[in-house]
Amino acid sequence: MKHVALQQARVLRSTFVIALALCIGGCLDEQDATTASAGYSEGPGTSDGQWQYLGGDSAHTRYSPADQINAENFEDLEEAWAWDGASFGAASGRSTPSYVNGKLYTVAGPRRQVVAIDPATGETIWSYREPHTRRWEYSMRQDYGKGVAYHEVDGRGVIYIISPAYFLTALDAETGRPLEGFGKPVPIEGFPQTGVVDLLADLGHAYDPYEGLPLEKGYITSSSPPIVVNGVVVVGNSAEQGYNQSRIENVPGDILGYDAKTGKFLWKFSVLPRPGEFGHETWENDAWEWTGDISSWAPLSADQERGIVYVPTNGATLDFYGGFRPGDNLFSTSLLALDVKTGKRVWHFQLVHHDIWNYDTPTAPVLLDITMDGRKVPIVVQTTKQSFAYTFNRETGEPVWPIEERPVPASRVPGEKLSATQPFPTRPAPYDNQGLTHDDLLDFTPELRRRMLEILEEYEIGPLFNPPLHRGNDLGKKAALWCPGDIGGVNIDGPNAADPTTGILYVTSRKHCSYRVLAPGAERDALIKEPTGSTIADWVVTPPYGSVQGPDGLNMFKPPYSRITAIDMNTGEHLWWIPVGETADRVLNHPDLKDMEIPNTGFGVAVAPMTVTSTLLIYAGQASDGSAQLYAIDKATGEQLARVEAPAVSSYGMMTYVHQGKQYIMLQTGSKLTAMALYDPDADSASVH
Amino acid sequence: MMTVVVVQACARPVFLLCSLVLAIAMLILLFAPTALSADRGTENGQWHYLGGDAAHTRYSPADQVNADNFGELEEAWVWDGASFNAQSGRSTPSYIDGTLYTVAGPRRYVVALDPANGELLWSYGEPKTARYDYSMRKDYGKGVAFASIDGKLVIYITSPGFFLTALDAATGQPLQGFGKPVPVAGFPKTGVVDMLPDLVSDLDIESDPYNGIPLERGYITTSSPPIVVNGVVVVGNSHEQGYYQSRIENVPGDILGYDARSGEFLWKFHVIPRPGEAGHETWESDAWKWSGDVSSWAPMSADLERGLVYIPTNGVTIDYYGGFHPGNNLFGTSLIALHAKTGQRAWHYQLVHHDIWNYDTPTAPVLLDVNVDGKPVPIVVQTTKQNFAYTFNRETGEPVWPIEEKAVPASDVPGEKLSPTQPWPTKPAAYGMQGLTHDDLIDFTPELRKAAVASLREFKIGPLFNPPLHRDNDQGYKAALWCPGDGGGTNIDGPSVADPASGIIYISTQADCSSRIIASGEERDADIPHPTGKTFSRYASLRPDGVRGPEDLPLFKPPYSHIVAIDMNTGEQLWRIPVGDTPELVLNHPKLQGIDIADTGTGANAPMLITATLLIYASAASDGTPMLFAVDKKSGERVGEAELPESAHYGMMTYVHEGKQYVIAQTGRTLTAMALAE
Amino acid sequence: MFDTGFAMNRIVPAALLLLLAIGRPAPADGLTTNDAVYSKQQAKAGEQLYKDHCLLCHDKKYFRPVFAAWEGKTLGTMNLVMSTSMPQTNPGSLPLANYVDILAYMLSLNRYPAGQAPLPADNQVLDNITITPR
Repeated sequence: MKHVALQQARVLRSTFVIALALCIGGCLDEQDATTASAGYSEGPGTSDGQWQYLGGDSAHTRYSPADQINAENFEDLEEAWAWDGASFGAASGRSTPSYVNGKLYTVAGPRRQVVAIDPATGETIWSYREPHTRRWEYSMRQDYGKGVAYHEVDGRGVIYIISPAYFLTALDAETGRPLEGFGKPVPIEGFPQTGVVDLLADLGHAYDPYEGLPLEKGYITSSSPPIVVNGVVVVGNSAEQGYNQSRIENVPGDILGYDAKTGKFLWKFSVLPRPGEFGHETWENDAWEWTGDISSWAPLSADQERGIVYVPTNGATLDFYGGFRPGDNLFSTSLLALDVKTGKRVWHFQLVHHDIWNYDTPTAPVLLDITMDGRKVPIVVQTTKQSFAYTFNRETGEPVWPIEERPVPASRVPGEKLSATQPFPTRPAPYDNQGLTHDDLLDFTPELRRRMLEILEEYEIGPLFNPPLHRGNDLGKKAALWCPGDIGGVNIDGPNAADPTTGILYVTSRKHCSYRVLAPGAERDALIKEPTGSTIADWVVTPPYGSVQGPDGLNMFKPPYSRITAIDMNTGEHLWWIPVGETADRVLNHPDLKDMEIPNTGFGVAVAPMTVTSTLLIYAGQASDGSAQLYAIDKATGEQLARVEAPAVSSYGMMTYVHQGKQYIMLQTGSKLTAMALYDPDADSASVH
Repeated sequence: MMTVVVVQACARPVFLLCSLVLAIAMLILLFAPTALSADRGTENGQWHYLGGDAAHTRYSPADQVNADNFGELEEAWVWDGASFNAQSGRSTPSYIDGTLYTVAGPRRYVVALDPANGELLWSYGEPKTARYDYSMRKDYGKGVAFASIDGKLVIYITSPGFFLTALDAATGQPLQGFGKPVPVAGFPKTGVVDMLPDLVSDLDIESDPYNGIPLERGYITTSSPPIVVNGVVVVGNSHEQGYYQSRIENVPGDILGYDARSGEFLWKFHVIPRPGEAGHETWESDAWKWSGDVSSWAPMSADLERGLVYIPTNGVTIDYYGGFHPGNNLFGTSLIALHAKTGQRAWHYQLVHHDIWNYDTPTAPVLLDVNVDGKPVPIVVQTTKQNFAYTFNRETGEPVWPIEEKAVPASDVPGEKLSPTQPWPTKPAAYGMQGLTHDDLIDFTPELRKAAVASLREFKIGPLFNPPLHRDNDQGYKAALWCPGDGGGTNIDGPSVADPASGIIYISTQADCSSRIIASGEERDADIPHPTGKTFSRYASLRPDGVRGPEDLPLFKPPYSHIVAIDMNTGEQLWRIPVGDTPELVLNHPKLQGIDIADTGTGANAPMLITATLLIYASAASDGTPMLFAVDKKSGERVGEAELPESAHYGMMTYVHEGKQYVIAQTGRTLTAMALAE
Repeated sequence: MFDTGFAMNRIVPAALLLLLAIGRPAPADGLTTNDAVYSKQQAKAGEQLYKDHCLLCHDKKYFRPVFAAWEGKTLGTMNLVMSTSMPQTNPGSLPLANYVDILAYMLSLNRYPAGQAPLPADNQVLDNITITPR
C-alpha cells in the first residue's frame, strides 16, 4: 500500500480509489488457508501464435490457429535454425518447448536444465540447473522431461518444472532466476534461497533432503512438468519403471497442489485410497499400507473454466505381477478428474482393473467440446496403449458412449488374481490391433504366413488383456504375447492432436505385441543394483523379453505397421486413417517380397509427432529411404497435400509458434530442436561475420 | 604490502607497536575472507588466468602427468559447447577454486563447468544489441578474467558488443553493486558497464546503448578478456580485421581501466597520442584525429608486484596500405607497459614502424625473471608474426639485447611512405623464416624446385618487410608476396609458453607467406556490406592471393612448422623440433618416392602447455590423427604421446581437481579433458 | 578441347591468369551456381572436410552473405582464395581436390541445386561458373 503525505487529502482519496480498484481486481480476495491466492492469469494458450503448455493449450490439443504455413507454401519450408542441447547432455528430445511472450522454453539433459531459447535464432538465452543431490542420481527418468509449465504471477511470467530429484522449482521467465518469495530454503549446498519447494516434505513420508526417501520405502521422481490452473500448481510424478522393480513395497504417487505465487502447499490427493476413503475396498489385503506407484508420468490437462485437472495414472507397484495386491487397485491405470482448488476427486474412471500389463496411461487426456444430438457436450478423451479411446463427459465423468465390462482371461500365474472383466468402450472403435489372432499376421505369401505361425508356436496368444505367463507354465509356452504391448497402441512418443474447431481427434498408433515371462523374484532381484522396497515379489519379469519379429526381419503383422486415425468425436466414427510415412526400402526391396506390390505399410513402427493448425494436420515421418519428412495432410480427408524433407527424424512431439510475424514448426529431433520456417531470401544476405 | 608496513613499524624503536602491528597482520592474514592466494595463479593445481599466471607463461607446476605415464592419457570427459553455438575453441578455460570457467560461442556466453565431468553448472549470455550483431570477433573470446571481491570470486568478461560484465562466480548472476543499468531490454540491473561512452568521451561521437556508434566514425569490439591488476580491470579491445576495411576513418582502440568492485571508470590511455602527448609527432598528417584501430586483441599480461600491465597492439586502420597516415604511427604494432593504477605509460616499444603488413602483435607478452650476464633481469618477451622475439627489461623498457634500426625496402604503391628502417633484434636470432628467396623453396627434386620458382613468377618477392604491391603496377607482377604472412610466424593459434624456473621460452612458428591483391579502396568497398568510415582509402586489399606449392606439396623447404626453445638468460636457441609428424601427403607423395624426407612438421602452429617436467603440445600424426606430444623441456626429445579424440587449437591448460590432473585441449566446439586412465 | 602443345601450355594459362587479374566476369554463355554444378556425394565428402578444417572459424551460415557479396565473381576466384589462404592455421595445406569438395559443400549449404557431376578441380571450368543468387 502506498504511503502518502497526510496533508494531501485529494491524493489520499485517489489513492484509496486506486487501492479499492486493486482490491476488486483480486488482491484481497477472501481466502482460506488452503486455497490459492489470486493475481494469476490464465495465459495465452495457443492464441496469438503462442504455445503455452507442452500440449499447446491446457486441453492438450496440440492445435494452433496459426495459418501462415499452408498447403501451398508447405514445400518451401526449410530449416530456420537448430538448437543443439549437447552442452546440457540432451539426448532424448522428449520435451515439447513452450513459446510464450517472445521466448521459447524447454528442458534439456539428465539434469533437466531449464533453458530459454531465442525463437528467431535458436540461441540460448539463459539456463538453470538444479544443484546436485543423491535423489537426482537415482532417478531413471532424468532425461524424460517433457516440457515446462508457464504462468503469469503478478504480471510476470514464471516457469515451473519438477526435477528428477522431485523438487518443484519456479523461475522468473525473463531471467531464469529462482522466483522471489516462492517456496522455502532447501538445506542443501548450492540450492537457491528461494524458488524451490521440496515436494518430499509434503508427500508424507520420512525423508532426507539430500538422499531422498529410504529406498526400502520406495522412490519417487518426475518426468512431465506440472500444470498450473487457476493459480494452483498441480504436481504429478513418476516412478521407477514397473518392469525394473522386483520388490513389492513403494510409495504411492500422490498428487500435490501448490500456490503458484508462493509455493505454499495446498492439498494432496491420495492415489491409493486410505481406509475410509473412496475406493479403499478395491485393496483386498493390506497392500495399501506398503505398496505404491500409481504414478502420473504422462502430462496433465485441465479445464480452466471448470477448475478441473485431469490426471492419467499408471499401475500399482510391479508390472506383470500383482498377486500381492489383490483387488481392482483404485486409482491405478485410471483417469482422475480433480478439483484444482481443493484436490478433491470430482470423478474417476478406471481404464484397466488391477493392471498388470504395463498399460500405463501414456499420454495426456485431451479435452474437446463436441456436439451430440444437437447439444454441446464437454468431453475428455483418453487414448491408451491398449488402442482404446475412452471418452467421458469431462464434467460428470459419464462415458459419452457406453463402456461395457466384458469378461477377460484369467491368469495361470500362481497367486495372481486378475479382474474377471475389463472396461471395453463400445465407441469409438479401437484404432489399432487388439489381441492377436492368426488373421492379424503378415500374409504377403502363404509361405511367410506359415513361417510366422511357426515362430508363434512358442507363445501363448490371445485377445486383448491376454495375461502374462510364468516360467514352467502348464501350457509349455515360452511366454504369453499380449497385444498391444508395452509400447502401445498409443504411447508417449506419439501424443494425440485434436482440432477443437471440428471435434476431430487424430490418434497415432502402432501395431505391437510384447512378451515377458515371470520367474521367481529372487533371480531378477539379483540383477537390480539398488532395488526399492524390501520384500522380493513371488514373481517378477525376468529376461529374456521383447517383441516378436516376423520371418526374415519382416514385421509380424499385416500392414499398416503404424498409422494416424482421424476420429470424429462428435459421432465416435473413424473418418479415415493413413500409414505413418512410407514403406521402408528394406521392405520394398525385401527378397521375400520380390515382384510383389506392397501397399504403404508406414515406415516401420514409428508413430507420428503431430500438430494441427487452422488448415493442416502436420506430421513427421520418414520416406522409404529413411529420410526425415514433414507431411501436410488435409484435416478432413486425410489426403497428403504436400511433403518436404526435414533435417532430422522427430519423435515425441512437435509444436508451432509465430514469432515476429513468422511461423515456425518446431521439431523434436533428439538432442536438437529443429525449427522449420518458410524460405526467406533476405535472411540469406543478412550480414553475419 | 603487509610486510612493508611491518618493516617500517619495526624500524622505529617502538617494540610494542611493532609487535602489535605484527600481531594484527597475522590476525588479518589468518582471518581474512577466503581471498585467492597472491601466488602466481598456477600453484596447487590452479590455472587462474587464461595464460595460467598473470605472466602468461602457460606453465603449471602440476606433475602427476609425466613422461612415464603420458601414454596413458585418455579422454576423461568432453563438454560440447553446441548449445552456445561454440565453434572456434579459442578460449582457454580458467580453473579457480574447484570450478572451470570459460567463454563459448559467438555470444561469448560465460559458462561454469564441473571440472570432474564437464557438466554445465551455469551459463550467462549477454542480451541482444545491434552492437553485438556487427562484431567480427564474436567467437574469438579467449577466456575470462577474475578477481576476489570481498572474499567472493568474481568473473569478468568483455563482450563483442563492448560491454564489461562482472558475474558472481558461484551462481553466474551479474554482480551486485557493479556498473550501471543499461537501458536495453533484457540487460540485468547490475553487473554491466557500457564501455562505449567512456571510449568515445573525448572523440565527439554519440554512443547509443543498443546501436553503438555511427559506422562512419568506426566500430570497436573485443576478443581477449580483460585482466584484473590490483583491483583495476584493464580492458583491451579489437576492431574489424584490417583486411575487411576499405575506408580510412575509425576509432582508436584506447585502453580503459575500471574499478574491479564497482565498475567505476578510472582511466583511459590514448593509443593514438593527441597533441601534447608523447609520440604525437609520429603522426605526420591529421590522421590521428579521424583514423583509428591500434587495437590490442591479443591477451595482456601483468606484473602484479610492479603494478604494470603489458599490452600488445596492432596497426592503424586498413591493412597493407597506410598512405593516409604517414609517420611511424605510435603506438601501432607496439608493446606498451602501463601502470594499472593510473593508466600512465611506463614505457613502450614500437616493433614495426608504420605497420602495413598486418603484423599485429598476435600473442600475449610473456614475463620471465632471468639472469643475463650474471645479473638478474625482469624481462618481457614478445614473440610475433615476423619471427622476432623482442625482449625488454619489463620495468624500464630497455631492450635486453640491442635492437638495431635496419634499412628495409621502400614501397612502390602511390601515396605510400614506409619507414626506411625497422627494428631488428640482434638477439635472440630470428626463430623462423623471414623474407623469401628461391633458396627457401622446396628442393626435394630439381623438378619440384623448378615448378615452385615458376609459380612465384607473378609475385614480387623480397626480404622481411617486403612491401605490398598494387595490382596496377608497371612491374609486371600480380602482387607482392611477404614472408612471414598474415598467419605468422607465430600467431594466436600457438601462443608461446615459458618455464619460469629455467627461463626458457618455447615458441611455435609456421612457414607461410601472404599476398593480397591491392586495388582501390572503392573497389574493395563494393564487397563490404556495411563498411566503417566514410572516405574510400586510395588502396585496400581486394582479396587474398597466394602461391600453392607444386603437386599439393608445400612451397617451402621443411620444416613447415616448428617449435624453438630459447634460453632467455642468454638469448640462445637451445633446440628446434618440427611440430607433429610429417604428413602422409608428403611422406607418400608419388614425386618423392625414394627420397629421404626428414621430419617436416605439419605446417600448423601448436598449442602448448608447460608443466613441472614436460613441454606438451598438440598436433597430428602423419595420418592426421590428432595427438598430444610430450617433449623433454631441456632436450626437445619426444618422450611420450597420446591420441586426442579431436584436433586441438589455440591453447591448452592443465589443473588438478580432487587429486587428479587433467589436461584440457581446446577442440573447436568442444573442450576435451584428458587424464590418466584409472 | 585444348591442344596440349608447348605454346598452349604457356599461353592459355597465362591468358586465363590475365583474365583473373583483370577480374573480367565469365563469358555470357558460361554456367552459374544455379546450374547444378556439383554433386550430392561430393558435397557429402566436402561436409567432412568442412567439419575438420573450416568449422573452427566458419559456421554453416557464414557463407550465405559471402555468396551474396560475391555475386558476379567466379567460383574460380573463390577457389583460388580458399586454396592459397585457407585454412588460416595452415594455409594451402590441403590437396587441391579437397578445396573443390569443400566448395561443393558450401554450395549445398547455400542450397544451390546439386546435379549429377561433381565440381571439377579445374580452374578453367571454375572460372566459367559465375556466382548468382539462388
